[in-house]
Amino acid sequence: MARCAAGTIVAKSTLPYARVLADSFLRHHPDIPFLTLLADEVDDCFDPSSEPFELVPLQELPITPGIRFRYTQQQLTYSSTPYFLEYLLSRGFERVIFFKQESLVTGSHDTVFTLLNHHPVVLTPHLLAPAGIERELNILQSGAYNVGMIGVSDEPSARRLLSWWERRTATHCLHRVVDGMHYEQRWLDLAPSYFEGVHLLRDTSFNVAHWNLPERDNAAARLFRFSGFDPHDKERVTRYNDRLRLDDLGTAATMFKHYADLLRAAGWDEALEWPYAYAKFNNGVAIPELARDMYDDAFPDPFVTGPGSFYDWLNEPLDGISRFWRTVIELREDVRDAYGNDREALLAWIHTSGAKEHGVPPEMLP
Amino acid sequence: MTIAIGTIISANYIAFARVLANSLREHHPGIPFYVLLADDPTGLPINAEPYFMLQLHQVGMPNLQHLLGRYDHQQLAVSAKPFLLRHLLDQRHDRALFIDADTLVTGDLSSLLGCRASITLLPHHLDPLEEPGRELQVLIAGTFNGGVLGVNRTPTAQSFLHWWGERLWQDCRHDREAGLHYDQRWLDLVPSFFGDVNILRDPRINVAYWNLGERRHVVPSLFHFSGFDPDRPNQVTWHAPKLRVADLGETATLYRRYAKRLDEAGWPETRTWRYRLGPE
Repeated sequence: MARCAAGTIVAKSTLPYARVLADSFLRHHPDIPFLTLLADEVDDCFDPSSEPFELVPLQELPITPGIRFRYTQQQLTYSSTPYFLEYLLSRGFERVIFFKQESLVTGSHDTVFTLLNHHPVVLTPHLLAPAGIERELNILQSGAYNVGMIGVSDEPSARRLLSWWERRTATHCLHRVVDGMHYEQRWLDLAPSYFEGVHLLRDTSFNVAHWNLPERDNAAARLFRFSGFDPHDKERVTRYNDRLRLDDLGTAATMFKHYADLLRAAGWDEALEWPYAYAKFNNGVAIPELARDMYDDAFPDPFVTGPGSFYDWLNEPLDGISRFWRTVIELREDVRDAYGNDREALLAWIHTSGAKEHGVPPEMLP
Repeated sequence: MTIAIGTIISANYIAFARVLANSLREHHPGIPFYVLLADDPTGLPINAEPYFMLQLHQVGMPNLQHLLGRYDHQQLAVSAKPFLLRHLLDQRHDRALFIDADTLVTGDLSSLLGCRASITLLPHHLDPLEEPGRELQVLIAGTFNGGVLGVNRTPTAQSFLHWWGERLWQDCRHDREAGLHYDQRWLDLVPSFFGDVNILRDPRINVAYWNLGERRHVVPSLFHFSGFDPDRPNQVTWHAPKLRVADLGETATLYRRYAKRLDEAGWPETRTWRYRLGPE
């Protein structure tokens, strides 16, 4: 009997997803360990030993400070996926299923574990049949295969895939459709070309979600996904599609409402308050998102502050305006058009709209 | 078990079709080769060609007049692919292959000819590349190459051709943000939608400028001179104007031989035959 495991990745504020997911998985597979990677720090916010899963700290993975800095909370959970899968295989697990955090297991996944006996990799296509040009283009933009459920075995082909995928997600896990990037997911379009034995799970009971609801039978679903679902949003099915309303879903709406209840019961509101561990420089200053984009790996630990640090480099004044703000202004054609080189006007903009629009803390204002 | 191979050209590419046809005959003499002329042949000295010629009205493209008004010669040629393949299957061939006209058969194609799956696709690359930047370009253009693909006479393949034909009729252009790249990008969805797909991982098939680096030690069976312009014989491809044939080592000989064959097949004359079916 091969050693099986399942897992997911969360930050602290999204821990309730992992609780609900783990509970649902264990209901169908009580003897298979469920592990959760925390792409964050515990910081005494909760007690890992009382969770329904084994918590894996981020330090177990070769995720550098640079990677933690470069990415937002969400991007970090995505980019950690191949690292986490590789970790599970090196722990000795032979058949592993990864679930993205907003998922509910509603049926047995024996099919997938069995497939992994003969195929090193199992991927789930978003769509299994033509669905009209608009929906298909949407999938082409975000990637043919959904990262919400992935299976890997300890075969060399799977390990090669994970090794390559890690190299890509370390630096190229962003949302830039025009450049061919959709976080970690779009890279998988290359998997069937590069690696032997990539099996596409063409089974409609898995990975039922907002993009394929019309053609799936929710009663028969084994894995339900709730991408972009906010349990407090009474109207929208997902933040990725404004037009899709819960009221339009028919019987599937019950599933979403049930999931919202489960999340709230799992501490959703409490967890939302838990601060993200990688949100600040070591001196307590909040990291604006553009500072993450500006990260240069010439600085091995960008969280560190003081002389010679990335923080100092960002704040270094270049003709009265810091390098950080100069870069922001370079990106803002509208600001350049409005104020040109008028330093007074630019400074005024920085202190008013600039700081607000770019989430820049007071310590980084001139 | 019969196989047919087809390609599509505008009139000015007829020299390419002739060279391809002859090279195919050298290695696989029994296989019928069809050339769909996506152009107006009126008045052109086309006869006694080394292949079967087809015209657009023979392959059943719906609403052709409307398409001719919307698409340039390249879009038209590319949109005709599913219809050519369907036509070949309808002619009672068990298997049909499409190959871009700018290719040369240089060896045994058995692995391509013998595919038993409903659909055969060729990846651009068979191994990860060094640079993420190049891989992103492949993702934008489509992971499978639209220049070489095969179908067998099965309901699955017919569904594929029907769907692909419909998409190409609706839209056939390059638009990164939308997720479009002519006919090719749609192929990324084929393994998901249609199952029974063989992703052919034979490095001898479809060797081209984009994968030459990783196939340096392979003796090619099918070489794809994508973007080669015989009037610029030292430029490998117009897709990457800085690449020079002189820098390709042994492969330079292949390019020079190809240029010579095109010349002998009438390129200097036929290159002047302007597309006459619609907007350039």
